[in-house]
Amino acid sequence: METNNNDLTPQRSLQLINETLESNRRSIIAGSGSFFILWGVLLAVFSLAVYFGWSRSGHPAWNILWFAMPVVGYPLAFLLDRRSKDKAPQNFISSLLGRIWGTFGFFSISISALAIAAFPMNISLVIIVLFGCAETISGIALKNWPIIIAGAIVGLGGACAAVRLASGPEQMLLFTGAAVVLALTGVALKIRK
Amino acid sequence: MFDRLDPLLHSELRLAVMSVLIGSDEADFVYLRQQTGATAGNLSVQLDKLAAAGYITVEKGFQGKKPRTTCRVTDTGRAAFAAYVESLRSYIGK
Repeated sequence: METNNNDLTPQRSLQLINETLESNRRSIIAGSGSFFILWGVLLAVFSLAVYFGWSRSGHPAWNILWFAMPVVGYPLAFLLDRRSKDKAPQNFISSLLGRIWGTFGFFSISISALAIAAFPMNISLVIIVLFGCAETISGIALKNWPIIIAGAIVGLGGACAAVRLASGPEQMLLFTGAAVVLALTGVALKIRK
Repeated sequence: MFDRLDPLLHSELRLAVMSVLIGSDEADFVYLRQQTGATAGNLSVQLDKLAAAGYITVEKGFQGKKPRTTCRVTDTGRAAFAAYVESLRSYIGK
């Protein structure tokens, strides 16, 4: 890019600003896609592990595996964050996405701990609704209708399915489905670049 | 009456750098080079000019063992950029 400003008309300046802002915005949002893929893959792995453990042993204690997910996920996300800083910086939208999913993680872990410790409840129902909300809000922040609709389907459809499947290990497959949606969200963000 | 365009911003590379920084919390030298397509030497010179005017801050540090130069837009830079865009609008609108 030249620094010579002799040919820089006001129209060209505005065009340059718009193009650069848009290119920068796309790079940053595409960088966020890696985190969606990471958490999507982890969610799929853990939900399937709990499903197989629970269905083979017949014991719901396999749900304790969920607490290992943040233990594995947060260090991986930290490493990914360090690597992705070389490629794209943060902006308001990428920070907001991080906060939305951080809040989802906080509520999911807290609700699970409360349910196990003192207040038995249908954890799958609560978490799948929280998941749908987080996904939908992410879609709104990104102005992406497929993500908004996917979040609504996962949240509402998952809530109905969680009630029907409340007593068995099959409810874990809800999270496998949600994981696929999450990973696909990440792929969609990367493709949009 | 047309507003005078800020000569520091009325340059393709400096304007592109400011546009990247306006849309980010911060950006490192490598990313700025990728986004603007500038050579390292040219970009370095233009960053110094923007920093000297107080439009950006340039912080040299390390990420692990790798040196990393991080740039951020200042409030002065944000105000200058907004004024520049406003001036452009006055040119195009009249």
